Amino acid sequence: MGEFRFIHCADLHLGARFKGVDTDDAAELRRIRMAPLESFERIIDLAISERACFMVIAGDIYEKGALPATRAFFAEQARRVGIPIFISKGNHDSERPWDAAIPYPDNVKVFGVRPERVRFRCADSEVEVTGASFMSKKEKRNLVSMLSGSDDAFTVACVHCDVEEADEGHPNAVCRMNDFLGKKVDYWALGHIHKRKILRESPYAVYSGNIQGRSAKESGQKGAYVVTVSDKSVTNLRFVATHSLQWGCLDANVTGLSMDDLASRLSEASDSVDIASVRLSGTGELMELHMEDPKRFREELGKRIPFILASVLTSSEPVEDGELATKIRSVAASMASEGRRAYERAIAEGSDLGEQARILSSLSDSDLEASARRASEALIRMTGGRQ
Amino acid sequence: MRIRKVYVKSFGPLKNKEVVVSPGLNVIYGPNGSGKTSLAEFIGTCLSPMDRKDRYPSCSKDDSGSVLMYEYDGETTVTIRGRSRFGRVPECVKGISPDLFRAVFSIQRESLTDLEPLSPSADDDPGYSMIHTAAESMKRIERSVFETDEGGMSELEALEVEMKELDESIGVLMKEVKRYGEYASQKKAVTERLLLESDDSVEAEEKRRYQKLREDHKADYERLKELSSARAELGFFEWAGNSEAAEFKKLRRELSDSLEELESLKAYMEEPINELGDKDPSSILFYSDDITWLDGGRRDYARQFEELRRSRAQLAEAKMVPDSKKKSIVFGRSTRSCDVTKMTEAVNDLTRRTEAYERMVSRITSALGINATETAHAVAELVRLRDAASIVSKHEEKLRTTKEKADAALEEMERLTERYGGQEGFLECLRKTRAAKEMDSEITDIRAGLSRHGLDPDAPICAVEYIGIVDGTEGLKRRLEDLDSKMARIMDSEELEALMDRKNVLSNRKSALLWRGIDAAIGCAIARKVDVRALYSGSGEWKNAEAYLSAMTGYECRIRYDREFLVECNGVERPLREMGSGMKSMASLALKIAAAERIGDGMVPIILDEVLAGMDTQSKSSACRVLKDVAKKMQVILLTGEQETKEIMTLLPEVTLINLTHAYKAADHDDELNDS
Repeated sequence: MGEFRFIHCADLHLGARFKGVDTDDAAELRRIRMAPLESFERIIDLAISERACFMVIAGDIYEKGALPATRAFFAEQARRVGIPIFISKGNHDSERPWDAAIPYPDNVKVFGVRPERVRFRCADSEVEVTGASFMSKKEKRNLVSMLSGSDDAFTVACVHCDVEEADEGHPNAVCRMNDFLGKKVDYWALGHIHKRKILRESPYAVYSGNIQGRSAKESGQKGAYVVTVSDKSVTNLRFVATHSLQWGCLDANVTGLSMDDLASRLSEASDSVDIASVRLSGTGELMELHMEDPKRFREELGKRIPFILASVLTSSEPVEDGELATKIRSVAASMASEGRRAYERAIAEGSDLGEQARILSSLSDSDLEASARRASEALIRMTGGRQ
Repeated sequence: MRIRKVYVKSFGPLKNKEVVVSPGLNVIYGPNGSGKTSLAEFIGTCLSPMDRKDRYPSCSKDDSGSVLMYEYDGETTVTIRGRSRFGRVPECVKGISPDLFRAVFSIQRESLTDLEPLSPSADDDPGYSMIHTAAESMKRIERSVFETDEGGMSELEALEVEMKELDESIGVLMKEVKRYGEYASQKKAVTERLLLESDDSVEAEEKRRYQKLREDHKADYERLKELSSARAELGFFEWAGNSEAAEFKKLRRELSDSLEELESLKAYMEEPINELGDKDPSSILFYSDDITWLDGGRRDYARQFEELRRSRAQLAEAKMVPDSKKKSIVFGRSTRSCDVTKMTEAVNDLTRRTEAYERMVSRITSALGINATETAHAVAELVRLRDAASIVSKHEEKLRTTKEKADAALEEMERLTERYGGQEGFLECLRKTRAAKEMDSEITDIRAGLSRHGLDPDAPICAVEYIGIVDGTEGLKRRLEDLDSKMARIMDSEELEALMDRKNVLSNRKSALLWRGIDAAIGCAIARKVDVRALYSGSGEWKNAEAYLSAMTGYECRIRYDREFLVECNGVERPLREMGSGMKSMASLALKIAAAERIGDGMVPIILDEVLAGMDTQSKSSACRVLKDVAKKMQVILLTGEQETKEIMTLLPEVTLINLTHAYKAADHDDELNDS
């Protein structure tokens, strides 16, 4: 029996924008918007060059900003690759009014909400692909437990799900690790978690991660898996990066640095990063500029670095443990625990803006705590804390 | 927080004193040595922020068991026993240093003009002076985010305005985008129709005729569609029949009638039932005849009883007439002889009769468990009870049958409506049944009409049929071009994509900005708490002090801060430290009250010990009025030994005057102390 390959990817989020990016540059914005599409295009190129037998996409093809053109793009890419593509829908794949008007080509199979199986041959081997789609944004069923394969074929199960942990108020087809066992499935192609992860081998249960990072939290390489199967078993699992823009999160201590110094340090550290959040620590002129005029800081730094500057943050790591710093931190901590009341009173003393009251009511206690921590570090920096 | 009561068992010279204070302005007066200062110190000790190193000096071992009661999140007490304090200090006091607390909340005469705690201290400052600068800059950031600048809009508002405009533009474009599917199906239909139009075969001609016919019945098809979707909306329900509806109506009438009757019966029986209390009407009615007899004999009994009493009295008065066997009885001044034997017999007879009556009464009352010492009252009570019992027993049967009737009706209704999910469900099903019947009959009519014209009522309604093609092929072609260009415009989504890009950037920017503003606001609050002094040295923070001083000086003097406190009177400005003692006192008082107001947020009372003593009469009376105003925002307790201040205060309304000399607390306090 011959050897064959298939592609596993998930969480394309076509139509998504990036979080935390603040730029007026139209070209940059276009690059960002096109990034997931480009990554998917590369995955299709990959399937062609690898002569993959089929593809599985484990959900979340579209994001909120997807338009008819986005669907047309996907249909066009599917047509280009020609091989069977199996899709199990995820929480982001709800119906759109133009879906029927832009049909997928015949090589695309979207699994229904009940488990379905498709059997075909790849390089003289029996292959079975099974999957089930989300019924709505919230999927309470354990989809994994509903799927199973056959003894006489190499079975790939394609499904969008959470493993072990449920997201509060957002059930996403939660299953347990044990659910992957004894189902005659050889490869579980999973989607939903954006960080790629091989949960287990024999059988394989793999999150391929998303194909393009969307915020500083989703840093590093993104892409798809090329899975090689020989004699009914996986012989090779290879990740191929296809991202268009690689995210990074760069830390810099700005004490004693000029803008040029900072830029050259960041440039050195950026390596293969295309877009990054920069987190500043320390004190000094640059820190003051960032606090007083963040817009100018961004502009000045943006001009000097080779990557797209997504956002500039200050690190909330402790600066210095002087007497004042200790006191500021302890007040901040007590404020967070005393909670809203103390803050409300403080706000009321300062100014009586309705806006703040409105924002305040939408803050959670942990938001408040984090904010108090950031504010206290900022205060320490301003009162001359040194690192 | 308001102090409600102070009880001092022993604190310095104070022994067993209790002072109940009002929430506003309180003046506690007493001669020197009456313990005013100790009382002020006691309250201060109770409320001051805890600090081990900085204990109140007057708190000594024999100061046992004194209580301060105050309101803070409900009632709270602070107790001092020996050198320890028990109880909760208000949150808002906690962040303040003890010397600042004493400077602004517990002001003694000798430290009134000491403004050091309000000023920034330069010595051993580990950066405290910097915190003011930091706070100012935080404040600036906060303002830049939230507050409207002179241009008219804050950065945040400007962002929101642009986002709203973007949303509108996106909404307009999206509305068109969402019609893509509709356009696509129209295109399909137009294309088919175009093919048909260009075909001149007999079949095509027939098809065209048929479609023309359908277009003529457009309204029927549309109505049919409308009806069937409305019919489908009714969903599944139990069909409720007419006979059931009638039955239901009848039962409901029965039930409401029974309930009404029940109500009126209950109302009628309420009084007799109350009268009966826990007594059983049947046991009362058992004696009904006896009670009737007793009631009839009531008057006789009263007469006999009276006669018996009189006769007995006469007999007791009777004396033996010496020469006769008869006794004579003195009636007033006259003496009359009478036959004692006869009289005694009469008395015995009366006794027997009244006793028989009384026995009967007591037999019945004890059987019924009625407590009545006097026979006449007992009879009246029995009659009342009998009347009540007869009403109750007469109506009880009726009550029972009415209740049964109501229950039966209700049960019947439940049985009837069981499969509809109760009464509500039944009514709902009834409503739906009626609606469905109407719709069904209309649907049948329309379908029959369409069939009569040789049309298929089930043929799907095609969007394009009703477009109204006026000039045949040409019109269709134009239509096709129009649809194509619309769809192409939707596909070329660059404009919309760019708007959504912008929207995303703005929402990222907004959230970053919001956090910047919130962080800054929280930073301000932290700075304020870390060192209140530093903030209070800022100019512009003393507006209230200025108002108070102005009021105290007849609107002649003003105060401001510029590295030190400066007072301006009649156009001449001089540092406060160079002013005379009267002005110094007033200005210090104004500053401290303002500070107390800002720090305590109206939540902490201020204790003023003899602070008006150094002022002249005019100033004193202005100061008193200012204190009265201040007391609207926070509790004020002024202790004074001076006659003049007391007299001024006596003339002001809404001032609580307390004489400390007489403020003793008698007894029962030890228990309370032990409990706490």
